[in-house]
Amino acid sequence: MTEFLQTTEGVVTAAAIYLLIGLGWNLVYNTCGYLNLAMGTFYILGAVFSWKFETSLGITSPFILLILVCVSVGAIGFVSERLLLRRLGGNALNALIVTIGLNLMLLQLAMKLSPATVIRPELFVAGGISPGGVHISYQELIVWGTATVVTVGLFTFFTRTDLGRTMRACTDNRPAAEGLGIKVPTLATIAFTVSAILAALAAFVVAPTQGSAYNSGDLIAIKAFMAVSIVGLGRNGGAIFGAFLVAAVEGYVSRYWNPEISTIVVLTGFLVVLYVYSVRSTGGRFVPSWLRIRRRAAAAQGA
Amino acid sequence: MSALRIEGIVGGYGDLTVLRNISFAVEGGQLLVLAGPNGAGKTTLLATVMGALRPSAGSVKLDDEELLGLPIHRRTRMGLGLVPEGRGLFPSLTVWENLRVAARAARLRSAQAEEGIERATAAFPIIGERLRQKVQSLSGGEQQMVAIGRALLTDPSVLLLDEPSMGLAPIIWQQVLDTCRRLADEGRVVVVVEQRVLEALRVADRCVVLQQGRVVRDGTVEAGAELPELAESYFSAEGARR
Repeated sequence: MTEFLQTTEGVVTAAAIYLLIGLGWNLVYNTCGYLNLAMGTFYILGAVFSWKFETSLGITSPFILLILVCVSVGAIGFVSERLLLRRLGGNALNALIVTIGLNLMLLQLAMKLSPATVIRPELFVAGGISPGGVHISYQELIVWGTATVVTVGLFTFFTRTDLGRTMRACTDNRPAAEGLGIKVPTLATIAFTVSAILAALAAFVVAPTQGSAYNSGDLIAIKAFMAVSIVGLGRNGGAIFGAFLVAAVEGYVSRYWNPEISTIVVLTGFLVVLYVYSVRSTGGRFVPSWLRIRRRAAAAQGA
Repeated sequence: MSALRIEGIVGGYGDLTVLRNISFAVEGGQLLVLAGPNGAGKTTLLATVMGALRPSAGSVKLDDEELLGLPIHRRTRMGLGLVPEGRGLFPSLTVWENLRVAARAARLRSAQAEEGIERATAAFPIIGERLRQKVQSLSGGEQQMVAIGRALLTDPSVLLLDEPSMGLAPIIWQQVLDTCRRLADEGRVVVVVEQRVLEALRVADRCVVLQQGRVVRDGTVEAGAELPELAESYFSAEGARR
């Protein structure tokens, strides 16, 4: 039982990370109408900048590091959106291609800043608690707390503030929002910058417990994307369910079956989700036509 | 009484000229029906007046103040209100949220926004009863009321409605027309772009017919006396395109 609970504790931590990144995916998708494929590298920059500020500048205060990381990654997100993405005028395919290029550029930056090995910034607080024999480090509690605060904060922002409501309006009907005089490009810049900060924040809080390699962000971002895609891209409520589902499948398969195939199971699930979406979006059927023809022939023979 | 004056407007989309030297003026208290076949430039003209499109020549004046060059929110605050084609609502937002977003887009302060929402709900009590309901759950007629109510947030002196009959049952359409008449009688300029022109003319004071970006007819409508002639003009214009 303790083993199961300890695994569950890891699942919650992973879900918190997927949720933070997933909310960033949703934010950009909802406001800008495209997918930001550089999310994985924005995530890893959170860990890399934190480690760099710590080792090069000798800053150890988590609060100062938090501010520096958010400002640095936020500035990169802001400049990227203003210089590269805004000029595309909301064309989703072009934006997708540009974010792939942006991802490669930022990956080079992460590689230059971090050593080849896994980096592990200092824990904010050492130690932990062990209720019922399950060890939970204080750092993990910080991860959980961060995800909770961000989720509640974003929910409140979108439902209780004028800016949040305006961003939802842009998602609903962008031409109508523009017709009212809402400056949609400005909202897109805000969304892109905040999403980059959310991804970086995830790595900033979790890297001290697990460590991060400069090229490990994309896989985590894909899992987060899967988490937000399960219920429907853009739905923040569904993102919570999806994050826990992906983390649970990954965690329990790894613990009770085979750690080496957990990622394969998750990515297979991702392919299934993509298949379902592609079939649904094209109005097709889930059983391929060649299989239906074969079934019909077999039924006719049986009759 | 306020007045909207459009003088020599030439414009369209990029290199495509849709509006060719359009001029007319509407006084407060008048309900004007802007008619014409598809592609005549009716919606383009409204978009130009609201500031979504920039004309290459001409002027748009509200009470002798030039509007061209001003952003949409400035025009809204100066007294222009638009009910766009297809209503332009935000379906997953509640009625209150739709009104609030529009009010804030017009740069109204929070208190002014609430005053505007009160004005809209006073004009249409039905939307007052549906404030917490999502717009997508409302009927077409109720959605049209929300769209008109949203345009009334800033208490506009000029109200522009683009195809307000779209998707409405005849009885609801008649209610919308009666509302337009009432708003004009309160002293506003009301401009209705409409395909169901004969029904609209029954409550209108005047009709301007556009064809291929030009004003081909501008006259008063007296108790439907000129309707047959106007209908002929309208449909022959459409026939000429074929």
